[in-house]
Amino acid sequence: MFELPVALVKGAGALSVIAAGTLIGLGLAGRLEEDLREMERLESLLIGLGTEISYALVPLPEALRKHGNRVGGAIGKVVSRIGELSGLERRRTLAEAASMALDEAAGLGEPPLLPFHAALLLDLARVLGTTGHKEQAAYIDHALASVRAHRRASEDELRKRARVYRYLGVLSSVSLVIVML
Amino acid sequence: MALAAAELDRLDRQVLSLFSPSVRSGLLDYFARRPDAALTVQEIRLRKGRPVSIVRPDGDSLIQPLVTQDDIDKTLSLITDCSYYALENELANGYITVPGGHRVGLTGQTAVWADGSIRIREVSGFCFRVAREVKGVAERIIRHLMGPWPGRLASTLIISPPGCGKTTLLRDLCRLAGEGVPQIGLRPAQVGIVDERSEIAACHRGVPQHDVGPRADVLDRCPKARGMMMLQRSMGPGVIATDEIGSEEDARAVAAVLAGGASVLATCHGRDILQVKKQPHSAWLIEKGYFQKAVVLSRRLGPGTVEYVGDVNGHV
Repeated sequence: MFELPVALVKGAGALSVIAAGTLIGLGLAGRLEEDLREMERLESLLIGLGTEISYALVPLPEALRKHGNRVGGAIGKVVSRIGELSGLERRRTLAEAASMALDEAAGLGEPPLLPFHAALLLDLARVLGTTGHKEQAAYIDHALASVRAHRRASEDELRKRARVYRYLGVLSSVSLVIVML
Repeated sequence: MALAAAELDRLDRQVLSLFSPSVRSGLLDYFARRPDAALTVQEIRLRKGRPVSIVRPDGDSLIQPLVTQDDIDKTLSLITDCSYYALENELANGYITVPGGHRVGLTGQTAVWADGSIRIREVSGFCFRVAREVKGVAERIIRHLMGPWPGRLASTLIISPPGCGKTTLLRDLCRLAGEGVPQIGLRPAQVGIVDERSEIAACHRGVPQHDVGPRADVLDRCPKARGMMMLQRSMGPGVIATDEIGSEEDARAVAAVLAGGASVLATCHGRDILQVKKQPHSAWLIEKGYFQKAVVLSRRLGPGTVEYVGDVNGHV
């Protein structure tokens, strides 16, 4: 029976370990970078909602559906679902629809929303659509400011951690290979 | 009994489902005890901290539970489609119309803005006026309203005190004018409706909730006089319908529209033609021959009792 040279087997094994470690590191880093993208999506969504409410006076369920679909991601899916579940036709208030959409997302095993985003959505759902457009614009500006502040505060930290995960994946797998050899 | 059940089902789908679960179940209990009330209920009133009031022609009933702020918030959120800001101008008039044509009046703490408009800041009460479409009420009188021109309706004034069915009759006349009635030689016409108070077509987001016929164009919440002129210029209607004329501006607009060739169907408050003739602008329209026909309604045998139909100067 044909036998592989030992060195070749060891080399292949070492490469597999390094590849696996690198991929795990990249995966973890990617997840952190996705969190950053989610923050950007939420910002974009709030800016869009502000415009719809202040200038176009579009009904909120329709605005939520439109901008949720536009920004995409986990936050976009939940917001779009809130739009679908709320309003006169569905006989649900925004707050009822928001908690229902968040429960649904958790139940379906969707990528989880950042806790800060989930809390912000629930807070907004209590006040959006309940007052005149000037007050609504103020609520959205306030939410936007807090999202931006949160992003600024966590951006550097998240990017640093993402870099660490990438290096850690490669280096730890190389170290493991060295130890094993 | 089946009629009452069907009416309760309609009421539940269109109105009661706009209330919080506690208010809705209180109302459903009431209608379960008095099934006939579903057929006659005229208004449902919610006032914060007080019992729900159901108004019928024979009086009203107060039912538990007491209305809470949460009940008010839920109903406000639903009737505004979670979008109070989008209806600010409509709400400044004190009412909005929900699907089904039901008009919801609002009360509460108001604020007068710099431009003079009034906004309700803290809503604390609602009055749901239950809309009921009565199709066919105009069918028995329309043959008396044919004009001097073949195939067209005469300009007609519908006169009655409040609550006698003027608007219901006007709505049905609009429907028939749009559909045409071949049996009496009435040709279908383009119908323009100026619905200043959203009572004729009961539009929700511009879409009529009542059947006003296949050829009706509606200007919802538009001042009557300006609306009639707008329709005349833009839509070329054969018939223009509007509710409750009475001011000088209304009279001038009616005269201008008639000069343009359209027929006008309008309503006017009054017990009879003699009383209407005492109102200066309505009298001017009648004396100048702008209206050729009149219908007088009363509640003598129930809402919509026709006391007179015919030539506007033929009634003594």
